[in-house]
Amino acid sequence: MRDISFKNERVKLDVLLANIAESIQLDNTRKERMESAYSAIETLLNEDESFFKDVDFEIYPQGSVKIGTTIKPMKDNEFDLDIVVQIVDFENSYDSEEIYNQLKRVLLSSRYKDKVVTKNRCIRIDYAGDFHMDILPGVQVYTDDKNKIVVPDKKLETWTPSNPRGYAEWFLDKSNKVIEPILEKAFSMEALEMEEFAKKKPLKRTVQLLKLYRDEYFKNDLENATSSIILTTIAGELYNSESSIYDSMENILNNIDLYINNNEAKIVNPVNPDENFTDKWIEEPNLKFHFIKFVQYAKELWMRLKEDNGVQTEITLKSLFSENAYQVGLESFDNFISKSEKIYEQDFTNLEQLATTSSPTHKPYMFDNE
Amino acid sequence: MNKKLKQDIEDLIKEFPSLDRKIVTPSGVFIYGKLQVKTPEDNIIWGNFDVKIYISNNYPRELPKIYDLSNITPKTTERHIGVNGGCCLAPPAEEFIILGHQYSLIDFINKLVIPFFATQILYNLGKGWHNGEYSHYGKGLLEYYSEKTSLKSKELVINLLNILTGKIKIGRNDDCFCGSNLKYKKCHLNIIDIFKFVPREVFVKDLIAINCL
Repeated sequence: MRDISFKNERVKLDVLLANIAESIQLDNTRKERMESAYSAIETLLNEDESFFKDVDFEIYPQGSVKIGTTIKPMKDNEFDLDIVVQIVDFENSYDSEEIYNQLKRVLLSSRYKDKVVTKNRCIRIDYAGDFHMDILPGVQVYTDDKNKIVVPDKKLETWTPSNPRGYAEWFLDKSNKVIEPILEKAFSMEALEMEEFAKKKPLKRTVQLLKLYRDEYFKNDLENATSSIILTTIAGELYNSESSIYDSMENILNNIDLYINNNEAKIVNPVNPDENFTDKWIEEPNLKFHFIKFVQYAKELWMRLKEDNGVQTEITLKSLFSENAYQVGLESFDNFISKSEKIYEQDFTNLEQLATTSSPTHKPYMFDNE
Repeated sequence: MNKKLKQDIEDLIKEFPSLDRKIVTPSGVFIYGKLQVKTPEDNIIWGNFDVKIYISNNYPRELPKIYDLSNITPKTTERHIGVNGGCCLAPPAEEFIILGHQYSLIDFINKLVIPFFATQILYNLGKGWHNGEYSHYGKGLLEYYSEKTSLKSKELVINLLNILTGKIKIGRNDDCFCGSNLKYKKCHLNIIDIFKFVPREVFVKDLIAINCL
């Protein structure tokens, strides 16, 4: 792309897409409350007088908050913060139920006791009306890799392998492979201070938009909705360092079919190949069928965005992301673009004066050996 | 490091505290830091450039070199900036003329570097080249000398450079080499005067480049 500025239509499209994603993500105030809650749980476990006092453990976040791909949950659902409590246990001293129960004990005897909900693998603390925190107890059993853990599965009454930290590292690594993100470049070229919406890299934005599209597409058909982990993993696997959100999404949509066909229609955890995210597709082939239609529709609509037509763009984006998300994103977009255009209307006389030197023959040229 | 270099660097860093890193090598000094383009009248900061400045031990006879390490400008021939950020501020002879006799590093920044960065910003904002531009390499040098001395042909410019390098001698009362029928002392002798503080090596180099055209 020759001229990367906010006057360029492709750059503007990315500004709009970034603003739509920014408007539907976890907001900063709530994120701060999550961080407080997280610290409080950490303190609680550190102060435990029995079990946790004697084990080597650490706490870390995982999931969409960790990798930066949060979106506003649908309807009355709440934002969700996932954390892991990882215990080191090379001697296999504990069984899976015990770890789970110890965590439950600490929480039930704390001020959170009325907010506790037990789930199959994790324990949930429900900060009603705000968000919930899912705490996953896990055990590190391999000495060589502190990311590989096993987690208790109550239904199966056993341990299952997991690798949430490895997954987050894998995804963030892919996201960081971006080459010259165009939004960052446009801010540099126009000597403007970078705004929040441009700070998140294209792959993360693509995943946010895929999830938003999924919520819109399956809004009346929730049972068939493709899970976020599948969308995130496909996007990460197919992402190829694209500099813009538009190109990243286009590349992913174009290559999903091939990817599915090459992998026996399985989407496995890239850091734990035994974990098959699409295992449900075997029991319920409908899910795969719906997923394929979901991708096809997105591909058609995404192509239309290439035609720089204001009306067409609006219709397409509303169909993909819902009228509401589009409007909110559009408002931020409009505010930013008019701000950026103001610099062109500025009075440049003073800058021109600075640029003028004492000599009429002072002009840049290019010499050889540099 | 010679005395003037040492003093000028001290003065430079005092004047521009954002140039905060200095590395001394056997051949010269590297200075790293930031330079801000700001218009004092309205306090607008137009850009903050990450820069590297190299000053050889032959300073001031050898010009300092400035490198733009920022993301504000593309590093292309078109923009007069090399891939490593090296900025071509002006034809070297012109740099000396603008800087004046016995220039300092502060002069270098204020008279050449800041205006260059300001023109780059104006170019980014769609305003074209504020001071105009010369073509690249030898062609640009030819354009420069032609414009500066009103000599219309490559041969005449080469003549001029031969005089400036001392290869050809011409007497005050001789006919001027430009073919004007005026005596040299009434014609190009005065124009050549403007180059009097430019080191001879500059003309030697420029002559080679123009000869290659």
